Amino acid sequence: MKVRIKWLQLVLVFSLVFALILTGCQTSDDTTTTAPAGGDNGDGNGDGDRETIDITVSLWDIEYSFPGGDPDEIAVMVSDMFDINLTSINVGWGDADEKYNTWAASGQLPDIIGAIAHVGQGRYFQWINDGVVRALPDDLSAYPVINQIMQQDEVLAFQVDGNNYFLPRQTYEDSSWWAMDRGLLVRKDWMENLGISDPVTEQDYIDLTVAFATQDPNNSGSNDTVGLVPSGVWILTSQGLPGFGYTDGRWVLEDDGYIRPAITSERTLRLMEFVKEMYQAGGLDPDFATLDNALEKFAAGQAGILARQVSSKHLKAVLDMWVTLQPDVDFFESVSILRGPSLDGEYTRFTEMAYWSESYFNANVEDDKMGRILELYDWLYSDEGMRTMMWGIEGTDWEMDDGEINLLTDVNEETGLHTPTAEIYPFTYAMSYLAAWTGDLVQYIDPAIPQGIRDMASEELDHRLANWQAPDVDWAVQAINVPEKQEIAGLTYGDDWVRFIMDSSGKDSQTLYEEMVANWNANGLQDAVEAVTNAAREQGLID
Amino acid sequence: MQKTSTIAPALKQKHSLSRTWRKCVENKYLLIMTLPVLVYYIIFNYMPMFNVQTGGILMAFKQHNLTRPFVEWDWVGMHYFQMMWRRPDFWISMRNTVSISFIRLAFEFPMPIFLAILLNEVHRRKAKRIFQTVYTFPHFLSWILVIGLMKDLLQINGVINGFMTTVLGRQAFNYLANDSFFANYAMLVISNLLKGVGWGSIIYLAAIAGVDPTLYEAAIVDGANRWQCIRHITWPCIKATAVILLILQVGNILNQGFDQIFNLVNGVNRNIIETIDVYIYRYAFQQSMNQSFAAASGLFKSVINFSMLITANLIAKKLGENNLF
Amino acid sequence: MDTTLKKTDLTEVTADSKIKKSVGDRIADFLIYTFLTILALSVFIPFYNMVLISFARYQDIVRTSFYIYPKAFDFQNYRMAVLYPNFMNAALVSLFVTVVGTSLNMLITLLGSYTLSRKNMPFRKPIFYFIIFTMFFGAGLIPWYLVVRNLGLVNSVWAMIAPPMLNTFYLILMRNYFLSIPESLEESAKIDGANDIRIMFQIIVPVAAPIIATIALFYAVDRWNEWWLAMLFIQDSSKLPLQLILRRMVVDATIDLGNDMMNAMRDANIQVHSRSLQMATVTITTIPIMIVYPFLQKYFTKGIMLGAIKA
Repeated sequence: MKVRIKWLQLVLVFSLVFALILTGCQTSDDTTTTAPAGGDNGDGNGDGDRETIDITVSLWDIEYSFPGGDPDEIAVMVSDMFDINLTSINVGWGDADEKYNTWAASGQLPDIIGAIAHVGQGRYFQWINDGVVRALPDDLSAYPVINQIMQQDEVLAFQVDGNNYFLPRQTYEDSSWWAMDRGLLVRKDWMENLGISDPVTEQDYIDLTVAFATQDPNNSGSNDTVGLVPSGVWILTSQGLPGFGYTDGRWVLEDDGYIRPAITSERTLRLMEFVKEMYQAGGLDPDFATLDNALEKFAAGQAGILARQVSSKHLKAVLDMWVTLQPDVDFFESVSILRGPSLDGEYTRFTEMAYWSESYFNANVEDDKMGRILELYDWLYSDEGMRTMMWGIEGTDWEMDDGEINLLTDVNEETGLHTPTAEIYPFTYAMSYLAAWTGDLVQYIDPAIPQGIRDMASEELDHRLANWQAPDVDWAVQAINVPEKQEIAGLTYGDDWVRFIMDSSGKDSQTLYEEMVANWNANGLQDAVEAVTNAAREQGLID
Repeated sequence: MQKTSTIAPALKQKHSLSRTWRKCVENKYLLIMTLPVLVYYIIFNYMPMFNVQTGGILMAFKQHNLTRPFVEWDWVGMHYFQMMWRRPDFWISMRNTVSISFIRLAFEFPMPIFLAILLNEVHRRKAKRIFQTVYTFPHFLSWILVIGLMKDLLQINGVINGFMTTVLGRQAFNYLANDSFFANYAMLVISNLLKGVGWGSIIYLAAIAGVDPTLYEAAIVDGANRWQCIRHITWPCIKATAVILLILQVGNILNQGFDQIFNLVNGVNRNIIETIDVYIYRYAFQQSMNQSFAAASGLFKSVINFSMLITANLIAKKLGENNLF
Repeated sequence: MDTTLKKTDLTEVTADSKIKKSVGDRIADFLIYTFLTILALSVFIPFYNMVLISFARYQDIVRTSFYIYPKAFDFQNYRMAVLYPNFMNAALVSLFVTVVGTSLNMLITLLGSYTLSRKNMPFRKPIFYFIIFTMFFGAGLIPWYLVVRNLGLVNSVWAMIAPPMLNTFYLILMRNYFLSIPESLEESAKIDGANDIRIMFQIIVPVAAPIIATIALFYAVDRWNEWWLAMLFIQDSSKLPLQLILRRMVVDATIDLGNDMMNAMRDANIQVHSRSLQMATVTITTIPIMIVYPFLQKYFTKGIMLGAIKA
């Protein structure tokens, strides 16, 4: 009896396994037949004689643009316009690098390699030297927008032997817009509660943050607030406090004639002495070194000052969170942008290249296919392309009204918001950021962002562009490729400054700074500084 | 073997060859049964190692090229090893890795054994199962989540510091960012134990389950107390497994929980808890992925780990304990 | 206190053995239970807190530093996970990989550990060295990737089954257990002329139930948690396992960029706390394991097997 039951069990288990194997095989058969989306009978167009070309494109989450089933209207329009048949190769935000590395080593890269931001790094040069990616054609005059984009300093600087190897994914029209990607948001209502007027000097700022932390600015009766929360330790050195000169990570020419990362300079020491003083006085959130919820803290009314991005798009993120967490406190009445203390009344803007991340093209993409890809990008870069990707089809989904975009899509009665474009046209979901971060580019005119936010950000942007200094960052210097520089990519300056701020040994800051510099140099900084400076001199970038 | 030693060498060789052959024929089933295992190792481990296109292990000594075959790559010798060695940060991370390893061997390694023995002393089945199930829970949480929770608890504005300052009137202590050896290592060990001790004890429970229960009955009849039962019946059964795991753990000296440490490391504690894996990640992977550097650092770790394993095994053998080979 | 202790004693005596417990035994019991309970609490409370977080409303988590009692039950995170494209399909893929993968794992591991534990196995030592060597020296990712690709496993569910078919560590543990089984057990079978295949399945496997259950559990959990191989080899989203799509969902929700899902969610004015989303995904993937686990437990909590065979 017992034996029989055991046999029964065995038979059951094996038949289950067998059944699963069969279903497994079956699913693998099914899925191979799923054809990629995209219309292939696009002969209705003017230049209909062109053959349709298959293009594989990889980008973060691009599969959401090709959900299967019938392609949406915009997908059909795009494939008809350029006679292309796009197939998506998905990569995720967390695994793109690993996938590309294995694909590059095994010759499996797709035609368009979109999810990469490595310009100027070791792998950028390796891919070019090993012939993994192809160069763009010399003559780009047939593609007017691309032609213009490729004239930017930060693109020209990364040419190799006079060739361009990538199309930049534009974040902003030019790099000055980055000025709004660092800033301080303050609770002006708390300042009124405490009777504090606008701070000016370093001491004013320390007093203000300490008051926020200790004097119950929200009248809650308990000690539930902190002073300044940075959304990451990096923001402290990266022009989050812009009144101390350029203190960010880019390489700049210093007074001693060497080019070195500005974050290692004496200016940064001066800035960090101020932050350290604030930390010791209790004005800086004591958990700042390990914090990952600064935005939540501020939006929930637990912090007086938030150091974060203050551009239109990012202010909207704060507002959205605020509305959920403190629905009864009016955001616009309570929050304003603060500029931080300044040593000499001057402020230095944050800067980056006008693009973040790039598109590369597989070395075996032929000229014909490259031509179509360039056509597609040229359109995506254009006003027409961007508006289509952002708001849908003109006339149906939006119209131009006195220079303003007017959305015609349905409004959700509960939230009062228009239907997101990607819901109507899934194709636009990821394709809207294939050539450019369209959402960032249009953030000061996007009707999906409340007018109050856009006004607040635009006003501040205008002020910064007019009054703040542009840092002296030369992109050609950043592009210098010497092995010594690649090898110190792992130095953690920001982390070391955190140790400086939280130091408990009681050494004076000059000694601590000298120890830090000595440590960086021992790990290769000085070699890199000399190599970069020499290379810059050879290239005629400095005297 | 001893008998054949008196016979002339040539004869002996012939003899032993035919003897091997006979042994193979006699045990042909065993050989057939091993075949799939060997095929697996050849395909997934040895074929990559002797791959002509990429050169396998030798990749560490050449400049990796993505499109050309291995023979055409530039020879760089020890370049990538030196790139790893020459920084002071490397030696700091080596020191940290080795000390964390030893602290783990001393404090983490015995705990699953201890827990398994205690669980074995729980005679009520239900209680035993509940305990055991609860202990295995945290194994399924990723380190990111566990550390997120640790932050909630251990921050200056967290629960534990709140308790310390308001109830006990003590000074707040920044557990997550400090440069105290003791606090950092204690945090590493305790968090790792809470997460993994239950899971780790399963293998020992399996070993204990192999014990013939009549042994306990006989011992109790002979008047043995609990401690004596543990010492003379339970422990000898676990010991074989414990020694094997200990040897393997020693052979893992340079692998110390990347996920845990990578998520805990910050500017203040870097010089104390950054391990070799985090160091390699920082310099090789964060900015410019380099396959040759990765191969070199992997080879370096393998050589040290492997020699530690051999040494540990040798010591176990000398002590007359169970050993790996 | 005294009465509860006595009660415990009574049940224990009836459940376990007829021998009366001494005072020292009772104290030992008390200490053991106390220790185990404290450990269980310190493990369980954080876990409980995390499950709670997965049901919590966004505003409640942000406002509470350690969330210990539920303020509201919100299924938003679970809804989001379950409605994620391909969720059900991914669960099936994971089930397939776990059942088929673990079965094959166990078969190969049994074969390897059994043969390597036999004293009369030809070339026993060289083969063992051959295996141990791979624990330490590998060729690295790229050469291995090329081999798997050349086997035609790209974009196939078998990419999650074949490459991890054998785990050397588990093989060693199982072999070690087999070595500890007294040889006398199989002698009678050998005299009867049984071959090794029969000896393994009819004599060794039943005796080794504890280790087999344990290793099967280890393999099953490994297969169930598989995401890395899928990330490398699988392109079709219909073939992705559960762990990978949940992982991707969490990464998407954590990254804060122009057009990502997080912003789409914000547009709809639903705030998702990435940690509570993460907790929901962990809960979803852990529950099946926790359901199966107690069934396996009976094999390694009671040493009945050896005695049963002998009798």
